[in-house]
Amino acid sequence: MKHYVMVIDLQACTGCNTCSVACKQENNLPENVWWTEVLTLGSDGNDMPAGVYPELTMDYLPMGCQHCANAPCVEVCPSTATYRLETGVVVQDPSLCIGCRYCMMVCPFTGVRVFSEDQQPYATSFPTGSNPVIHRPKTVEKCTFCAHRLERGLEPACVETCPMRARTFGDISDPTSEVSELLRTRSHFQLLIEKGTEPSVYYLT
Amino acid sequence: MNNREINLPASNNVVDDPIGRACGILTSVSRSRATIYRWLSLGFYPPDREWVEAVNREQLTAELTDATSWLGADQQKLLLEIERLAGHQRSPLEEWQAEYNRLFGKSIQYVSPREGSYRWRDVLHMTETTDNLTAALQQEYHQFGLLPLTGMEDTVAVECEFLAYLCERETENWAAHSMSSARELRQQQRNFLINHLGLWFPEFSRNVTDCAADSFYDHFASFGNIWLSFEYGAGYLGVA
Repeated sequence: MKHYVMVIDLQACTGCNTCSVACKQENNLPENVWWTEVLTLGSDGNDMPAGVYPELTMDYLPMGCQHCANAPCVEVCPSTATYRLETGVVVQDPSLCIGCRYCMMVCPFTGVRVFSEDQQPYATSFPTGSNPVIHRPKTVEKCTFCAHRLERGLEPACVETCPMRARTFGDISDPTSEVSELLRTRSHFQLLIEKGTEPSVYYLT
Repeated sequence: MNNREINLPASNNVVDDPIGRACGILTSVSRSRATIYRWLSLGFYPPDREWVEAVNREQLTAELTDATSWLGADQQKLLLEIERLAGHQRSPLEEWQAEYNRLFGKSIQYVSPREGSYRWRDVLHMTETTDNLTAALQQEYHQFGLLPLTGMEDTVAVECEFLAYLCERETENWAAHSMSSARELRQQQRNFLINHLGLWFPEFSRNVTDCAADSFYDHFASFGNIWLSFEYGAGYLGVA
């Protein structure tokens, strides 16, 4: 059975946020809504260096839903709005979401879901991408690994657009896949592995 | 590209049970939600000495503050109303009863605390609708083995009490890791809000504000209105 994972090379990521913008465009996200962001490690804000001058560093951590194999959000959703595809991708159907936010509360990762009390405005009056999801206030949204693109045999928008090729997407259960090869040959980690949710996003160091 | 040393937070090797952790969190959340509905119910029953003492001891405001803390930044909207509620302490029971009767009893400034008063206008026969509504509500309550006082089925107090009961049942199920029952109970609360309380509470709240602006019941109904807007999710028409 397929198990899609994303492998992100932190050595290659330059924090350009092309992935964030590509995601926003592809999924027609309104203003203030981001499904993936690039965090700056060790500092108080985004794009702020860590350390004290002249010993400053800028390291980035692209962050979105981790599509956990043992995802508590799937188990607690009362309306089955959050569910797992056969490929391991955890998707969220806003049309079924009742806005209870249980998924947000049980997720160990902060800021990977979006919940807006009010309807957020769109920058354009026309859809910019191919995801047909309608964004409603008081419902939870998150990264779907571009499930609508996967159905058409395409990669997630963030993977396709990364100028540094820092993101790789594929089937970890296939030993010949690029992701399997990367995880065999490079040192890597998963976020908050001690929480036991078995994230499907791997970071190469 | 040069290899950089990336400073990442250290992680320990002890692996949690994520489902157990989730159940723990939701046990606490559903217990808090039950507390809020329980207070809403008590507040809309006719006031008695125990109620007045609870308000005067600041038990109401303290417990509401505590029970809404899980909302994070959204709690601010409720805190404003809780602060206003705190300004209505120290009134004697007689004043509470007079205010309650002026609003919800036989009075010129009557505000109906019954769902039936708000649901008949879109149909032809008011009494028939009320009968159907009562029967539907009785059926809902009976499903859970509950039997409210006859004639009280569609009051705001009983409907809030029913939701409190469902939340308490949900709490027990999260605590026992009975995930499917807990999820079902949460969905039933949502269904009840969509089919009953959430439909008419906004208008009820507006009427209370119109008839008794800045009174305890005005702030209490406003608190309920904001709370239900969080609970109802998309489509709630109550909060401007």
